[in-house]
Amino acid sequence: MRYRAAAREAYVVRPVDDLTLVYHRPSGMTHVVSPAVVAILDLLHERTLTGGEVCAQLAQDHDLDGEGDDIALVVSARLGEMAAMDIIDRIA
Amino acid sequence: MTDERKSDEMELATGKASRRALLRLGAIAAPAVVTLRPAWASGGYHGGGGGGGGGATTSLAMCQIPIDKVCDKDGKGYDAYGYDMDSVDDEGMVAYGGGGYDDKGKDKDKGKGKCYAPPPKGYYYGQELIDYEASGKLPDGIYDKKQFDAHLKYIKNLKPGKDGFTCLTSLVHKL
Repeated sequence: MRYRAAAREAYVVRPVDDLTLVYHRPSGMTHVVSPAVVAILDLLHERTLTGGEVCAQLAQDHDLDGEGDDIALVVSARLGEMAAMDIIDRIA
Repeated sequence: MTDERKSDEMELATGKASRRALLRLGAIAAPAVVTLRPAWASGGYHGGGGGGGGGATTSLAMCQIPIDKVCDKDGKGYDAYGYDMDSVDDEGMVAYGGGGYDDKGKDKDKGKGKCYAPPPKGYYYGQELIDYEASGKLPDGIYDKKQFDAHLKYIKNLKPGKDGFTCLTSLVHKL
């Protein structure tokens, strides 16, 4: 399963203290998201990546904390959530 | 996000190693996205995607309230800014400035500040506080009610500008 986000310009991302608001222009929806979601979204603008590729890219810039759960599974959960909320697209 | 990337690239270009920040991915089962419904949509507020509300009921529960060492000065009530650093101890759940009784039989701890270690992960998720309010269940890794009470007092005393204040406000107002 691969994932892809629209161009950067399709989103308005605004940190508000320790939360981040993401307005997705195509859907007109606003989401409140965690830092992990912001980091993942940032990787996917007009790029199609698998869950594994997202993990590898995140690991380049960050020390990843999955709270004891397998990192790949947590990233997969986050990607699934973002796709369910139409923030990103699933590409077969 | 973009500015951080640029500064990392600049650091690499000058040969300095870029500092890797910790990125908390959260737990598998803990949702990380809340969709805000416009006020004119039906019903109150709950998370749901463009597909019409499938999946877990999301809330702002993924926001985090960081907790440092928490001290109860002189046992008289908690001052969010009054850390008694002389009596802090990272080991164990409760650290006292003293202990036991002096030779006159008086409690040596009387009047001394008590400090409690932070939660194991260093913060609470909003959901853990919601669960506590609903069921009285202490969050994972917390076994001492006095420690948690000290943490709650700290949280309730949060002021604007302190980390976690926005998270607390969003829980209170059920954004």
